[in-house]
Amino acid sequence: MKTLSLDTALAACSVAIADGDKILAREWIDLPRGHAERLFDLIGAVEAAAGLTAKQMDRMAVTVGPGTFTGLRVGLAAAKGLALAVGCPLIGLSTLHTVALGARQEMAGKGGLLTVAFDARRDEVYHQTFDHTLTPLTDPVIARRAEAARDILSLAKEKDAPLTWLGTGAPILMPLLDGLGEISQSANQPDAGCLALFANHLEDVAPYPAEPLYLRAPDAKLPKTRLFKT
Amino acid sequence: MSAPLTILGIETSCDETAVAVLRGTPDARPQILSHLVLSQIAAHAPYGGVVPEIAARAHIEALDDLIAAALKEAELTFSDLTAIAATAGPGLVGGVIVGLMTAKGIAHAQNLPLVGVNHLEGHALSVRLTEEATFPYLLLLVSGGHCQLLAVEGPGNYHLYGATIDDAVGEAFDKTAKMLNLPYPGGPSVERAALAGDPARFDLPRPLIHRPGRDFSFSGLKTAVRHAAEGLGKERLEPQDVADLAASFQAAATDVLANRAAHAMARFIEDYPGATRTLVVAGGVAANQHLRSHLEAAAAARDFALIAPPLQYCTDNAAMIAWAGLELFALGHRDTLALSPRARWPLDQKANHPGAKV
Repeated sequence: MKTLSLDTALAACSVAIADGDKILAREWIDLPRGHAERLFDLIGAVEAAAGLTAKQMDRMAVTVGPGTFTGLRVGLAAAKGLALAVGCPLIGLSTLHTVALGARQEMAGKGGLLTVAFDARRDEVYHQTFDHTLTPLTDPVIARRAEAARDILSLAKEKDAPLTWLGTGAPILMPLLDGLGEISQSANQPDAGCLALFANHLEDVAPYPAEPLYLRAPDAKLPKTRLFKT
Repeated sequence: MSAPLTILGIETSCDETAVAVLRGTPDARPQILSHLVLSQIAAHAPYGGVVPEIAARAHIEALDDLIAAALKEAELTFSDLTAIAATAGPGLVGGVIVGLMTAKGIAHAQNLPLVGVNHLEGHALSVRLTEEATFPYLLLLVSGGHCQLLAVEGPGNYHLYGATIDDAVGEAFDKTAKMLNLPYPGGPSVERAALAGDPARFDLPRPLIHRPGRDFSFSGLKTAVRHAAEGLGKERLEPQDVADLAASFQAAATDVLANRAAHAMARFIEDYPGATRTLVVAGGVAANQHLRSHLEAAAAARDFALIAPPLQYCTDNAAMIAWAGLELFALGHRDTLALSPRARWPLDQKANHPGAKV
């Protein structure tokens, strides 16, 4: 089983190819802007390094958000085009879950809960909590910082388990809970390598549709009252 | 004659998701093997205009299935294609990104050449999808986002004669419709309301009409419509008021367009003395029948033939993108997969005109 995976939803651009349990090639660059221009350079590079082409893939995988609306659409549109042209399934995974995958070893070793949180600005965070096997315990959501902290605390109490934090939202939320838990040493950005391995191991791809996960409504206001009645 | 090219075209720069497949050569009218347009009008209607983020979301939801449907209708697979053409700008960049990145994905996986098409060039060449129009010709490009007069010498070769200094004419139609409480999109609804109206009831200005040159201005006209409506001193406009205001606005806008086109025809004759005299009108506002009949008269007075693409190729569509892609491809044009989506992209890159930047 071979998967080509990509992520452009946040402040990096990453692409990988994995065959079964093995990552054959992986590129990861810190890139706040310019995903649309750089993405296919990286795809070409991992294909060359793996000695494979897109047409030889069994699956494609992509992060679907939450992230920047533009960024997540750059990767998702590219992945949709690739999957359509290759004729293979496309797996979509949230950026929160993809980041959690990077902490697999760490969590297997120490147990407890893993909360992944990203700064969503406007006093909000995106967050999702997983058990030590990285099975999601909550859905990915957007919430006010205080509300998110409250919910995470009550889940940690309910499960009576130590808490590990990961993501750009961790240093925002942790102080709101008097430093509860500890910050993970794993990477706080999605890594396409982890995503490709995850996709290779899926038996059923149906629960992971490649649909955007915006978590925020479009910024649009309905017009004011009309000038005249008719 | 060269071998026929088979081109898949993708258009996502505003509020239509569109895909088409063409086969042909630049020297004859192509076979349009499929031509699908998914309109987002209903999604934007409550806002009285296109909301960029709503548009981008709708494009990414629909585009891959629409591509599959267009190929199926054409009874082709990706391996039958010569190249992929996608709008790379100008327009709402969120939508442009969706179409261009999807096109890059297909081009990469199938090892197909990519041609990034300027949306305006799609409109500029659209007439050649169905009509005999030899270069050079004079183009009046009128839509919700654009209002320009250009001499078209060939693909990639345009000379700007004039452009709007404020609003596009389609924008003026939309804003007038909004003011008169007519449904979105404003172009067709103003035209429909005007059918029952008296174009002479309100004496609206014809901006710039007594000045030389080929530029347009519509923001003053839009304001004049509002003053005329407020001048009635009514809280509620009667249907006849709405019809008369719509007709008066449409007449004024048409007079401006016809006058500026006449000045451009004079310039075209100077620049291309031996050329066939052809005035092409394209873009969504070219669907307006009142405008077409007045342009027809203005053209006839100067021995120009007016040619307009059929309505379905005047409004945004992907057949025109595939066609522009075909013409450019035949001239050797190729883009790399590093191509940037562009919000702004003037057709005449030499021109330094504020109205030509989009």
